[in-house]
Amino acid sequence: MPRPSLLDCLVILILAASLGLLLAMSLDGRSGDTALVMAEDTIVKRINLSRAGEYTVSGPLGESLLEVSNGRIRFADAPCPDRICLRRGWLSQHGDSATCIPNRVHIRLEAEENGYDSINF
Amino acid sequence: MVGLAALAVIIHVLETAIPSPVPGLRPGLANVITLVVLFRYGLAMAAWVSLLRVVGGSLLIGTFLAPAFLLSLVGALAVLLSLAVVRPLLRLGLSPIGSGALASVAHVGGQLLIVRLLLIPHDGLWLLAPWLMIAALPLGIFTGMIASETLKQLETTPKGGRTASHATD
Repeated sequence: MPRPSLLDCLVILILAASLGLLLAMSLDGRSGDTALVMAEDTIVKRINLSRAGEYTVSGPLGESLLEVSNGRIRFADAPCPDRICLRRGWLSQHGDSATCIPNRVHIRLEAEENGYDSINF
Repeated sequence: MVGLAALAVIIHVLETAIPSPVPGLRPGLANVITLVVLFRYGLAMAAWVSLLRVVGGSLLIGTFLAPAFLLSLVGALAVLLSLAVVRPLLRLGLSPIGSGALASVAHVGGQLLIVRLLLIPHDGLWLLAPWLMIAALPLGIFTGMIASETLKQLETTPKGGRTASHATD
């Protein structure tokens, strides 16, 4: 069984400490995605999805309620007759969108310039 | 030297046959050879052997110039870079164990970087980085211990090898 030298222990300790720090940073400050909210063709809100909460957006029919939790967003309530926007469910992936045409509210998760998720061969 | 590279290729190929609980996580046993060569013949030789291993191994597995080859190559380059950085410490008593730990973490780090740049261009990848690197650390120490033991055994053998035919390698 080879024994590590003092310098080995030092190097391993430094590596372990910096990796622990890296882990703490990645668990703490997760860079949340943002949802773009549009009403009547104009951007009214950019919502950070890392914090849970509820938001209202007003349109011609009344107020649409948006709910954010666990990095996702959905229409929680809407004044429109068909409520298709509610049935769209949770949006979590980049590029996902939901639209309420009667109330003219549109939400979209902002996508990066690269529109693909991954490449495989 | 070609003999050692061939040995590394064999380990590299055999290792792809070992199933892993986490995709992409491997013990990295082929790096034992890189470490052994580094400590016995120096960094330049270690670079030759590990690059020959990447090319030869990928030709045998069938991933030559595929993304897996790119990952292998970048991993090997990251290892060599990290070993080049700590080379002055070798004289001060850094053994294959510490070098192996560093090289293993560098291997994963380099691969993640190239994956982020080319294959999965999404920042969500960084959430995976600490976990993979933390897994790499003990694996690197393990690799280093094997290399250390191998070197100890080799010390009783002259550098040219056991037989005259190896001397031409």
